[in-house]
Amino acid sequence: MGPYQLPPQKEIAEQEALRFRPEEWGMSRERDGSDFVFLNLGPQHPGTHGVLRLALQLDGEEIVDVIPQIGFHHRGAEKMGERQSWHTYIPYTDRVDYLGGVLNNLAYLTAVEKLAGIRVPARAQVIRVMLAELFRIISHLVWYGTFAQDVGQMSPVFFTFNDRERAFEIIEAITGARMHPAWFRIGGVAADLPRGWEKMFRDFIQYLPPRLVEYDRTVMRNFIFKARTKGIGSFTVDEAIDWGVTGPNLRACGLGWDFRKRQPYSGYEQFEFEIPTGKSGDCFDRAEVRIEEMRQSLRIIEQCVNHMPEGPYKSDHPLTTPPIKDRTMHDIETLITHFLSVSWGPVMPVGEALGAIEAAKGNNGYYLVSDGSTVSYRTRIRTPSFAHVQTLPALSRGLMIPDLIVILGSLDFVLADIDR
Amino acid sequence: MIATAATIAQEISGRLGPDVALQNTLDSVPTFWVAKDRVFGVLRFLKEEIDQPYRMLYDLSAIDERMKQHRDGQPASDFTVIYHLLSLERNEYLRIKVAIAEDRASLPSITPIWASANWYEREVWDMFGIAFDGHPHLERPLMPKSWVGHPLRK
Repeated sequence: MGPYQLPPQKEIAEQEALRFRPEEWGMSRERDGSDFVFLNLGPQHPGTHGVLRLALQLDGEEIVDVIPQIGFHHRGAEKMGERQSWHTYIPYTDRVDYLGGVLNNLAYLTAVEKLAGIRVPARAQVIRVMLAELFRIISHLVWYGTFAQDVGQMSPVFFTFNDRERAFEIIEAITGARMHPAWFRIGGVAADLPRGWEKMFRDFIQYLPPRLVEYDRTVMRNFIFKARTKGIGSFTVDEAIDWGVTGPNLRACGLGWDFRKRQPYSGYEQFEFEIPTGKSGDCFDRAEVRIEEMRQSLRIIEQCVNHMPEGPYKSDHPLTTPPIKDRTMHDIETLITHFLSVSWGPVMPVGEALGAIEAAKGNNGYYLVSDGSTVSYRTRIRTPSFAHVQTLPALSRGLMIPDLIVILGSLDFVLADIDR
Repeated sequence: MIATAATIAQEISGRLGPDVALQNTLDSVPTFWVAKDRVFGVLRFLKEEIDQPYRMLYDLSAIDERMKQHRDGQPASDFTVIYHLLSLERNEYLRIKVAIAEDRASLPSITPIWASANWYEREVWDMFGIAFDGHPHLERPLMPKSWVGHPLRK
């Protein structure tokens, strides 16, 4: 039998390998004479927001311990980085945090542009910020609807997904695709903004705030929602830092740490926006932080629309891939560079760089090692969700399963972000 | 940034001996090579004792250097384990690299220092086959249990 076959014995062996054995994890099977129940939450379960298996050790209804098992969504993104060129790898980054779209491109390209020494022109930077903030809103809208659904409210998710459709129309008009645009390029963005782009954004900026107010009434002020989220799954700032927690989860504990303000990239230092923080680091505060972040993102988008600079949408640095098309059509040297960089790939200088941004879920960093070739030698993707899901056992011991479901929703992770 | 890196190098070597080599990188993150038998002590020092400590373990991963052609100025290494730390007070990252030989691919686990190192070390074991001594449960997180081999090796 060949390597890509699954005969019955192999299937049985693989299933046995998946069997959860408490002894392997140092767990006992009983306490004070009463047996524990070992229950699988997942890998297929609406509450885990993806293929995540949680092996629960239960004493009646109470969770004694949780062992998360990841890896179901592993697609070898880091290994693909060693196969694809610096330019053709961009679509792979879209699919790491699959709700983040262009935010992933930005993280990856921040690192590539450090390697290449490219300064992105002002217009390209503002276009990037505008789309990045739109994707932050989109990602938070998914979180919002699914979180309300975790708590038991069936309707809000349909409303928030409808709002996403409005945003997708804008993104499709500009980039040609909805969730995975792969639209940023080394040195800028793929094309200039189409005619009529300002009106699309202005309509969206008018459209969303009243919707957020409505969701506030239905979700955040609902007494059942508050009862299920306040005081649940909280941790302190020090615990968060110790666990490597970043993003809204860290800010909900009270620390106003946002990489857009502390280590600005892509021109964020020019924008006026606030960093919402929480107080107690519980599920409710995490929700409040994300909702306020959506409002601040709208503020940033409005500033982008009002102050979009003129100029090129791509750098004219030799490593910009691909070069501006007019130049390609004009002189032979640019045409040669264009052809080589989209086929063979651009050659990045030897060295290494870490490019990290404030993605929708936390700090997303790409650590790239170049050996002077068209292909990355090592692409390390540091994702926020990997660190956040590790905190699950500590957060849920002693609580009940419904509380665990709420905690899972409040952490806002995405399985592709964890497994890559 | 080089000035900061030199200061950190001084603080570390003043405390723990001179085997700390500085590497220049394209992103101005101070990068140091530390010997395998020193790295546990260095990391604990950086988390708990140094002024404005590096309290966050930002990332832990590895590189298979065996096919790398350009390694000027870097110590010989078959596998390099990289610790990325973040100090919020300094608002700066720090990169600690450890050179590992192919035939002795193991390191002490730093789970006693950062509990969050658990999954990162498991992933390095899964992808590169570098064992972490003292790790509570070194099982592959990503590949299936029955997988043979370490995918991110060259």
